[in-house]
Amino acid sequence: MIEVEGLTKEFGDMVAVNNVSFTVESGEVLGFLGPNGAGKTTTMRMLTGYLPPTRGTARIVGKDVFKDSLAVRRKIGYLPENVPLYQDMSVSAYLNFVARVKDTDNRTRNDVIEEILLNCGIREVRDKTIGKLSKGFKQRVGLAQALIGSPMVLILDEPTTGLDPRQIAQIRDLIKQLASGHTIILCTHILPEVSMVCDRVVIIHNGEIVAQDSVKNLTKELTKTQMTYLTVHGPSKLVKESLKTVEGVLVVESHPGENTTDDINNYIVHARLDRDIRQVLAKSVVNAGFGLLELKSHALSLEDIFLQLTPKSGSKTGLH
Amino acid sequence: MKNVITIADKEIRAYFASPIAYATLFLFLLISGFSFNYSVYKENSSEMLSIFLVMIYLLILIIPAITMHLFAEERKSGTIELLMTYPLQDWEVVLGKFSAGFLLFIGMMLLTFHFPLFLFMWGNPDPGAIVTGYLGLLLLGGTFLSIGLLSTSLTSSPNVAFMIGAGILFAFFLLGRIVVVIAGTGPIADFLSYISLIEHFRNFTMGIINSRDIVFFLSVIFFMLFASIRVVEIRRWKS
Repeated sequence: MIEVEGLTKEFGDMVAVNNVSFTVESGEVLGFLGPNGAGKTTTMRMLTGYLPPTRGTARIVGKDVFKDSLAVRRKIGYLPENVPLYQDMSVSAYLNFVARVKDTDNRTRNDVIEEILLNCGIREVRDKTIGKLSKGFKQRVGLAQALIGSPMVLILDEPTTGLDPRQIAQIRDLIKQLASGHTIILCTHILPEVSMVCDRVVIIHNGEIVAQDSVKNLTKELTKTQMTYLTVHGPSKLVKESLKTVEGVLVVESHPGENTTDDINNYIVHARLDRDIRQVLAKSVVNAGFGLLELKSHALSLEDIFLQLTPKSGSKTGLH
Repeated sequence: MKNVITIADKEIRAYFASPIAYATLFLFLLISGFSFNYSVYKENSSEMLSIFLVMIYLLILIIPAITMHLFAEERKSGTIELLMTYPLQDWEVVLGKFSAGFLLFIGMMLLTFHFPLFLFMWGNPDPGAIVTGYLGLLLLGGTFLSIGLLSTSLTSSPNVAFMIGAGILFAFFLLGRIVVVIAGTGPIADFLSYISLIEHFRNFTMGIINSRDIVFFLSVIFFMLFASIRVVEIRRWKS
C-alpha cells in the first residue's frame, strides 16, 4: 500500500531525512516514532505531497507521490502536527468544505458528515466557530477532516498531543476501529498507545531509520538479559549482595518506584537468558532472611527500547 | 470548476466573518461619498469621471487590502499544509480565490450605484459614459485584483503581500503620471502610455469601448493569474 525507497530530504546543507525506506501493508497500522526533530513530520510531508523529496521515491496505492501527486491526494487523509484549521469557520461549515473538496457524493454528503461528527465526538460543537474550541475539540475536528471521504490511507501526525487522558483513550479507540479498513501511519511520542494500536513500528533518529519491526520482535531482539523485578524488605546493601550470589545473575540494580521506605526497596536483577531464574531467586531471598514482597518478570518497555535506540547525539546507538 | 466554486465560497464566507472586509468597504464608500459630494456641489459636475478617478486611487490601496491574506495568511497560519494536500489543482485554488475577490469587488461597485442614481435625479449625465465607465472599472478592478493575487502568492506575510501589491499598483499609477509630465509624443511616451493601466481606462469614461483596451486588461489579468499559478506550483516544488 505504501512503499518508501531511499527517501531523502535536504534543506541546503542540512539533511533532515536520510535514505529512509519502509513499507506499510494494506490494513496495517504503522507507528512512526522518534525524538523531536528526528524527521518524522518531514517524512510525512513528503508522503502527502506537501514537500518534494530531494531524492528517493514513495508510492501510495501504487502511485508516485511526486509524479502523480493529485491521484495520491485523492486517496489519503492527513492530519498535520499543528492541526491547522480555518479559525473563522464553524465546524460543520468547515467539514462541508472539506467534503466538497474531496468530491464526496452530493446525496450522501450530509450523512457522511453526520457519521464523522458522531465518531469523533464533535456533534455538540458542530455550530461553534473553530477558533473558539478547546484544544481537544480542535484536534478532533482535525481528525474528522482527515476521515472525510473514507480515504484508504490515513497519515496522522501526533493526533493526541495536548489531549487529556480520557480524550487520548477515545482517539486511541477510534484509531483501533479505523485500523480495519484503513492503512494508517501514526506519528507519535506517546509510547503506551503505540503498543496498543500499532502492528509495527519504525523508529527514526537524526533522519535515519534505526529500527523497523513489530514491537514484539524489537523487544525480543533488544532483550539481552532476563530481567526480574523484586521488592524486598531488608537493608539494601545486604540484599543486593545476597542477590548477586545467585547462580546466573549478572547485574543487580536498584529501581525506583512506589512502596519504598528505608527498609523496603525495588530491584531489577539481570540474569542470563538460558534458564528461568525466578524460583531460584525467590528461594534465595527467603532463605537469606529477607522479606520477599513482590517478584515478577520485567520486560523491556517500548520506552526503554526507544531510549536505547535514540540516544542523544554523541553516543552510539545500541546496547551496553 | 466545482472546486473553484468551493474555494470561492469558502473565501467569501471568510471575508464576511472578519471585520476587515466591513471596515474596508465602509472606508471606500465613505471617501467615495465625500468625493461625490465635492463633485456635485462644488464643481456642479454631472459626470462620474472624477468620482471614478477617486475610486481608482482608493482601489490602489483597497484591493491589495482585500487580496493580501488570500495566500499569505494560509501560509502564516499553516492551513496551506492542508490546502496543498487536498485533491485540488493549483489553478483551481488560484481561480477560486480570485473569483472571491472579484465578487467582493463587484459588490463594492454595486454599492456605489446610488451615485449615478442621484446624478440622474438632479442632472443630465451621459448614460453611455456611465455604463462604459463601470465596465472599464470592472476590468480595471479585475486587473488590480490579479496583481494583488500575485503579490499574496509570493509571500507568507500578509503585510508584505499588501506592500508588494500596493507598490506595484502605485508604480503603474506613477507611470501614468510620468506620461503626462513628459507630455510628448515619441516611442517612450507611447510605451508608457500603453502600459499605464489608467490610460486604458480613460476611453471607457468617455463612452468608448475600445477592443484594444479590453484586450489589454484581459491580457494583464490572464498573465497575472498565470503567474500566480506558476508561483504556487513552484513553491510546492521548493521548500
